Amino acid sequence: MAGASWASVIGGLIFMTTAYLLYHTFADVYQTSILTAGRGPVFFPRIILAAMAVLSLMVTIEGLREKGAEFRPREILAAGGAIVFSGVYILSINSAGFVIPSMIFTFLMPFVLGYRGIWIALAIAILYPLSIWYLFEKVFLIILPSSPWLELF
Amino acid sequence: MDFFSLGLEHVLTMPALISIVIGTILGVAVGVLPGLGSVIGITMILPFTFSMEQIPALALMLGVYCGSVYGGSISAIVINTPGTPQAAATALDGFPMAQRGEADLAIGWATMASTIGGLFSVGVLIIAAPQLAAFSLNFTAIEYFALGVFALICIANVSRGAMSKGLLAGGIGLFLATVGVDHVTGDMRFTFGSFEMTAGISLIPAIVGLFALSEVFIRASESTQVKTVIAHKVGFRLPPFSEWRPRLWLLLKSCMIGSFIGALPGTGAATSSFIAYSEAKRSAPNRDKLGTGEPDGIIASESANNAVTGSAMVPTLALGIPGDPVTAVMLGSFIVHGLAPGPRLFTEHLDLVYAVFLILIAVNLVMFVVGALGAQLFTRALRIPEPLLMTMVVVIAIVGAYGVRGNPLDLVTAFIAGVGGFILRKAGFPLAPLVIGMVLSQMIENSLRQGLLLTRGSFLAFFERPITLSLFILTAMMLIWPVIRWLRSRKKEA
Repeated sequence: MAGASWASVIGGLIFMTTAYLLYHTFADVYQTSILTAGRGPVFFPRIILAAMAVLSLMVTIEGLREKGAEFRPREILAAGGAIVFSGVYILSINSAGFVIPSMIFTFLMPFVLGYRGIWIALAIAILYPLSIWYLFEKVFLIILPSSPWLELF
Repeated sequence: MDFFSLGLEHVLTMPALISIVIGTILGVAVGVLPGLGSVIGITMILPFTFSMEQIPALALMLGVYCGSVYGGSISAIVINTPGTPQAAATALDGFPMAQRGEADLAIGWATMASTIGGLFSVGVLIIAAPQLAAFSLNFTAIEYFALGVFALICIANVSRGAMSKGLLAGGIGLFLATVGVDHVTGDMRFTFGSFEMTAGISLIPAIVGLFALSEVFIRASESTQVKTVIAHKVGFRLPPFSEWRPRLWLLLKSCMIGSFIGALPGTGAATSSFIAYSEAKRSAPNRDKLGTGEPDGIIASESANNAVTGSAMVPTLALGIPGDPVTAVMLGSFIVHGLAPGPRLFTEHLDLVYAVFLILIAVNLVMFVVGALGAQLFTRALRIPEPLLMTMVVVIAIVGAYGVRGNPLDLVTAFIAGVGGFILRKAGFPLAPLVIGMVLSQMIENSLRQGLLLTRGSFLAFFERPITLSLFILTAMMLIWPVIRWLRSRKKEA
């Protein structure tokens, strides 16, 4: 499957976002004080955003000359799986603590990445997050997110 | 002399010495494993330093930094896959030597050249950093503004991919760092009413996402087959001095190339090793044999890439301006540990500066011992299946992102940065300018605003200052040169 190049798609998205943010800098909330002599909170961001708008347009136009993006289903599945897994893992740390989500993630993620050794993955899934937790919580005294269900973790 | 003694006192403590050894060992291990590299190595080690004292924490990170640059040579020699991009040129002669059954000798050459390169660059750092810091004491906000812009444009310009993509990535970095409270007026910027956003986007979680997480996603998208590594038998054999003697000039020249390139913003160990290798190919006594397993190639590449480590710290320590993502992470972690690099560091905490110098010397010496004794052991790390390794990287990276402030929002920042980094890399955007943009944003913005106050709002008055004018001319040349090169190539084609 081929179409527009990644660069032009991303360039276009950045241009639209930049245009919106640039428009946003003229909102009433930023017209705070005449004492700043025009160099208020959005003075610098406005310069950056204006430059970004020009550059993103250039990237979009340059991208039109590049080869169209090719997507292999297996590639999308593997990368998408890794992203979704990592996202769910990170979100669940906030609600379920560090140890349990890390164990589940450490066990399942290698399979998403193509690994097939179930027993080694299981051993690492148990030992690795527990070692990290012990090292940080007990040795370095850095508190990691804790589980609402288990008192120890 | 007093400050030197104080620096020595800081370093000669058990925690600092242990950190030097452990940091170097971990650095070499990280360097050996293809794909991890110095930035991921330092971000992985960062959470371990949070509860450490200042000096041991710095020793651990500097050990990882220098060790990782050297470690890449081992996998380049043994499996023809450089552990880090910096060691890519080493594989050209290292692997043919390994195929001839001389992997131990190749590692001996690489270890010796790396150690000498590293020590040479520490010498450069010791001489150049205090001079630069003293010189920069005359700088006003206007010079700092010009310097910040110059550094960022350099990095955007020499990064891989098109210049416009590099500049855009730099712009994204500059913008992202403006989110949150404006430190001059106290107003909220781009928070859209969210209380959590008022603290802004934290640098370390963003770096963790951009480098560590995006690397995992890239690996996932590129390969779903687990590769088996076939490694040559490894050991360590030091070449005799008679073999070194005719190569001393090559060694010195490569060290100078590495140190010079390392101090420039935007370049780095990979660039320096290839330039030194090209120079060896042009002028080394055995240049005809380069690429067939000739030690000259290993000496040039390894001494040059390690000669970057100290000199890259020159602008970072003296001006607080990092030259590449590795020194940007180092700068961020220095700040986490209460050390603010810049000229004032040299006037107010000279003992700590001497401690950094001494740590770097010790790290390079320990690196030699670690390489000599542990080369065989480190190649065993290559047997760890990549999916397991990448999974472990994600978990420790997450701890790193969370540990800086203990703020759950930083985990979300790291994840978003990871996905964003993955998309940008897929589209051919370099990530280094983005990170440097984030680091330099506050300095550029503050100095611009202060500079305009000094000149009563006239930007043209910036050009009346000689240093600023020189820097602006250099910046303009950096921007115009690629256009001229493109026009020339078009003319040639026509």
